[in-house]
Amino acid sequence: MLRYLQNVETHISHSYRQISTTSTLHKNRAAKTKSTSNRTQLLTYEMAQKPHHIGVRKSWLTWHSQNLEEFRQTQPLVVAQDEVVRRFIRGFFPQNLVVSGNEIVIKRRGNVLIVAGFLQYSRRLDIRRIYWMFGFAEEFLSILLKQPVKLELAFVESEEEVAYNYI
Amino acid sequence: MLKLANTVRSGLLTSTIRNVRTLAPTVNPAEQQQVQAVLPDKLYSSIEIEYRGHDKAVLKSYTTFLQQVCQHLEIPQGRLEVLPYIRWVQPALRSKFVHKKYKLHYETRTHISKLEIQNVTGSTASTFLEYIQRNIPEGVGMRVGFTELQPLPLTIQN
Repeated sequence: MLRYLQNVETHISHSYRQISTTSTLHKNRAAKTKSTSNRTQLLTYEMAQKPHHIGVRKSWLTWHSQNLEEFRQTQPLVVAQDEVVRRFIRGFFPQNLVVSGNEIVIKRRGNVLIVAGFLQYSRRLDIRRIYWMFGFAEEFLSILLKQPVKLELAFVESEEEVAYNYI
Repeated sequence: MLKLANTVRSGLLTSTIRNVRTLAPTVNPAEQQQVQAVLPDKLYSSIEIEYRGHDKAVLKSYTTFLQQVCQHLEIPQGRLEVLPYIRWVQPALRSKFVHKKYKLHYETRTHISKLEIQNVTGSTASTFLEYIQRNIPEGVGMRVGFTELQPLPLTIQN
């Protein structure tokens, strides 16, 4: 027993000692961008505009009629569906996302739900695979949400193409 | 044979027993005097199309679309009305705690427009409405009000 303990002790002494770190407490808020010294932080047009520019210089990321006055019939459902769709797209195209999939636009037109936005193909452009994934995503979301879902995601070569500014 | 009929009737009776009892109509509807004149199609003196959205420019563009459609299909238009927008404001504290002086201003505006169409038949109205509703932009809601023309009831006419 004692020998065993000694063994363990030697093991511990051999292992590295590290300073445990926690993430710093940033006072970051929404839409407050922090600049870097060498201007490498990418900003898309959407990120570059301030919240008070919504509806003036930039518009909304979801388009449906349930948030209009006196038209709120299934607003909570729509919000939940939006989140489901966004998470699915983010999880299903992890290698192709642009700015970590924060700028996917969801549009509802009648019964149809249209997902628009940008994806990138910087790693490799495998068209057959992309077509298959598009088909799968459309089919899966249509069955899940019980309404036709269309993907209108456009492809760019890399994330730099959607850059509006570097700060 | 009679026995069989009896069994059939009893079977029917047992199967048609329901918890809800409804009164049998006192008058046979076929024999009832007709009250309303039968018209080949509905006639609408005016259809009021009210559409609203958060984006003013989108509504304006859709109004142009509607007017063009009316013009090309030769549907007489009534007046176009742009109602004052509905403003929803929610001031919230900018900080998490205290500092009541500094607030964030959240606001939504719902712009409303109304367009009237005059003197159309039922089939024209349904075709027209389907066409414009299929082409409605995202984020625009529509409400349609009909004013139907009907002759006086026969009991009054005669």
